[in-house]
Amino acid sequence: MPRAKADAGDSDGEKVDFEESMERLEKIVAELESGELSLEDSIARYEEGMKLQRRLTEVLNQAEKRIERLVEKGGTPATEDMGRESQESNEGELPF
Amino acid sequence: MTVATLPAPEDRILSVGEITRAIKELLYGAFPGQWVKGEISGFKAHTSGHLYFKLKDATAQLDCAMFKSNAMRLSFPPRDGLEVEAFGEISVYEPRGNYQLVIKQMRVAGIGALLAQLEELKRRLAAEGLFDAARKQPLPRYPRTVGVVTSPVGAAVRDIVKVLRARWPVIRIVLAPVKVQGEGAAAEIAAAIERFDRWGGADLLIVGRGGGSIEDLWAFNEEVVVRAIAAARTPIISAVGHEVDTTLADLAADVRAATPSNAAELAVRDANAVRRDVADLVRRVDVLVRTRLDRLRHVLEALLKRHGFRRIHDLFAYWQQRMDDLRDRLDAGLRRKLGVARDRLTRMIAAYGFREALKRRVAEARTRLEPSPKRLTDLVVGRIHDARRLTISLEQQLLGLSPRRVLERGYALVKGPDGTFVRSAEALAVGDAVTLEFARGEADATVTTIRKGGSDAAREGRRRR
Repeated sequence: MPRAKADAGDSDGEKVDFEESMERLEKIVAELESGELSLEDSIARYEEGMKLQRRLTEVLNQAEKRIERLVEKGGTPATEDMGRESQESNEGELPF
Repeated sequence: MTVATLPAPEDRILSVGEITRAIKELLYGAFPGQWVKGEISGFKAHTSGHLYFKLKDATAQLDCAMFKSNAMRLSFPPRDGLEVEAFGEISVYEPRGNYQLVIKQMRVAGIGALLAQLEELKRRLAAEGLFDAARKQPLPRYPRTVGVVTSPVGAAVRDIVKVLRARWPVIRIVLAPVKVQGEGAAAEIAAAIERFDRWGGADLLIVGRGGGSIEDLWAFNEEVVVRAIAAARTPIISAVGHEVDTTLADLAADVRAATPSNAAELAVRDANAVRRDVADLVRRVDVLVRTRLDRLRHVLEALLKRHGFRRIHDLFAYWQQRMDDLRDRLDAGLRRKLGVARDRLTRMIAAYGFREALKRRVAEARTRLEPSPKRLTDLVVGRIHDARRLTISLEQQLLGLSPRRVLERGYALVKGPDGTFVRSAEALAVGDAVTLEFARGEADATVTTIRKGGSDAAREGRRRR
């Protein structure tokens, strides 16, 4: 997943939060099960559910390959790249 | 001389076996169970699983054996030079005639005091509530970033990274490499936890190391580490040593894992299982909405079959019938109008000569038809034929209107004395000579009576004729 910066980064507003999306999908099912939605709302939830599925699947299919190291930079914690995880070796030799 | 001290030959002569057994019983009776402290030397682990070594100190050494069943329960790997405290009984190995300590339990020297200290610390921190269940934080279900506090070398970090990646490939892993044993390890671990917490970018931390002796794991029993774990706002999974080892860090952590691999399993869900969950949720959404639509469709169908809607159908039928009726009447009206128009045409033809008019109309129609599609042409040509038929029939009717033809039907024309046709009885006087003109031939006549009257009378008179 492309990440803008490797520092204290929970401010990536655009990125879909997996947990929120999952909870939203669960809520949609609960609402539909309650049977209290209007037909229009039901259809809207249906479309939203399909959209959520696409997003969730997208996240599930992504893969991160780097490992970062937590360091102190001028008195503030920050991360720096430790390199890529080797892909071929099952021994799991880490780059450090 | 001390000859007297020699036993008499016939008195008590023991075999080697007898005396060895006697010594064995004597020693066993004297030391049935004894703690002995010393340094391990000449350590040898036999393939059978039994351990053989010597315990020694500055002045002496003691052969030792530890059989497999007891050796398996050791909490540390014995090695030469290690100061230990061993508990066992003195036994004599008859084939060699030497005695040895058969060890039942063994621990690193000084550990007793250490364990007492640990118990004391545990009691104190527990009293502060650091291990309370109420303090435990729930783990995030789908962490994006996992912080790992462990040694950068060794199996633990590899296991953690491997399992995290296998289960949740997109996970971001941030490592804080620390010393996990020896001088300064506890301070490094505590500082790393505090730094992660200050950073705030990790959704949860895994703090731990692989298996080792109780001293190897000791850093995770130190107060500074326990307090750092308890104080952290980031949820922490501890993974210290193996299942059997429990440290104070484990007690303070939000979740305790049996091993580093297990910590990684607890940290993230398996992506394939989550994929199945997502598919299941979406299927439920799909089924729920479809079911709803089907139900509505049935309701609609049922409504349409009900009386009210049937009445509307009846109403439609009624209006349909009325419309048909009206159309019929309209047609009749049109036909009447057509009759009038026909009459007008008749008159027009009589006035101008219809052939010329018709030719003109046909020519006009032709020019209008030129650009039209064939079907329309056919239609209009058909119309022209109709018109031709109509004109032929009109022609015949016109012929019928010719006065001669009228005369054929039994009528006669009356010419007055001035030779004009007489249209009214009023135009005549008694005694007038008139000429009657028949279809064939004429006759002269004299007026004998005149009966005057209005138009009605005149018409009546005509009818009577």
